[in-house]
Amino acid sequence: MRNLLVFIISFLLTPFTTQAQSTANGMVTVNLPVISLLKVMPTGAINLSLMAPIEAGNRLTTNTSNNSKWINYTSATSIGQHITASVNQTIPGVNIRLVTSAAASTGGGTKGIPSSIITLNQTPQTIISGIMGAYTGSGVNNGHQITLSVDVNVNGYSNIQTINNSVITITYTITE
Amino acid sequence: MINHYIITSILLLCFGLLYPTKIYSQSALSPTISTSSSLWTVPIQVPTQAGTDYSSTEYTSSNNQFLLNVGLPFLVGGIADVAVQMQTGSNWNNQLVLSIKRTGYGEPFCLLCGMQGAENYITITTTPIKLFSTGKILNLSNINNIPFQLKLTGTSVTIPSATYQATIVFTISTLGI
Repeated sequence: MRNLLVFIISFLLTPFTTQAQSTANGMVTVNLPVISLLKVMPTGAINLSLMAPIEAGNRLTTNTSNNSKWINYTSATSIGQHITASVNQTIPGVNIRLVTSAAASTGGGTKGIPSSIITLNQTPQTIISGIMGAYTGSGVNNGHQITLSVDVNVNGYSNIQTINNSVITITYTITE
Repeated sequence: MINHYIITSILLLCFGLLYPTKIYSQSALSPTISTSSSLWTVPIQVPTQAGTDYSSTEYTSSNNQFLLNVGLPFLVGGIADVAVQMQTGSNWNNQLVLSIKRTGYGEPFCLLCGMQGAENYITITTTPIKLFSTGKILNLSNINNIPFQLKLTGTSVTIPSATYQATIVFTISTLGI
């Protein structure tokens, strides 16, 4: 009987010491889009030239390269992005070379890996790969420094023609 | 033997009479909570200049982005606690941080209810954390449209581009007396 009494008292008290609760929900949506922004700084054209030999029997030589340009980019992606370069025209017998440096320490994220020296042509070639969401900072000394130069294609020397001030446009493209 | 039958009969009688009472009491002791205008689509402003990250890494919603309605049944005479947590999909990025704060007292305004908590931003995690508490007076059993503001920080282009969703779960609980 004593146990029964304890049971009844416990049972009566149970509902009044039970924690009751209910829930409600809200929702937050954040859409982070794919972003592909690229620019070359500073703007403006650069001049590269080949020099005539001063001694008979020698070939044209180059005495200039230019490393004033920097590639800045902003990349937001889920699968990775890369940057290609191409020219709108080539010069017979002349190579247009491009070297991309490693990214400066400015900016953040996983910046890209530069390719080795490439010879530009009208087919886009990857110069920076493996960009996985990054921003380089904006302006000179941010991003990847690029060095442009020209030299003679020794295998196509017979193709060299006299050309003055040939304007060549280099197109850089960032894409997934 | 007779005593055994008597005891068993009394036990069955107790269950028969008291179990419905227990169910009724639990129902009567259950507070309620609901939300309205409870979807916040964060208006992300993408960068427009190459080389830069998002110009703003902090976004705040309107002052009344979430409106909570709290109901305290008649039998509840104590204080109700409201906790908040978030449930995220598998692709949620931990660089994204959500916070919430209470920007008002709801309707009708009940000074004596002693609503307090979440006056400043509280970071929402996947673990429940107390948001605010409120009491009740006499027959005032519902407080509606308690306004909340949300804040998102941590956006960056370094986070993989995707649509991220989080469910904000509000839980109200009371300890009946």
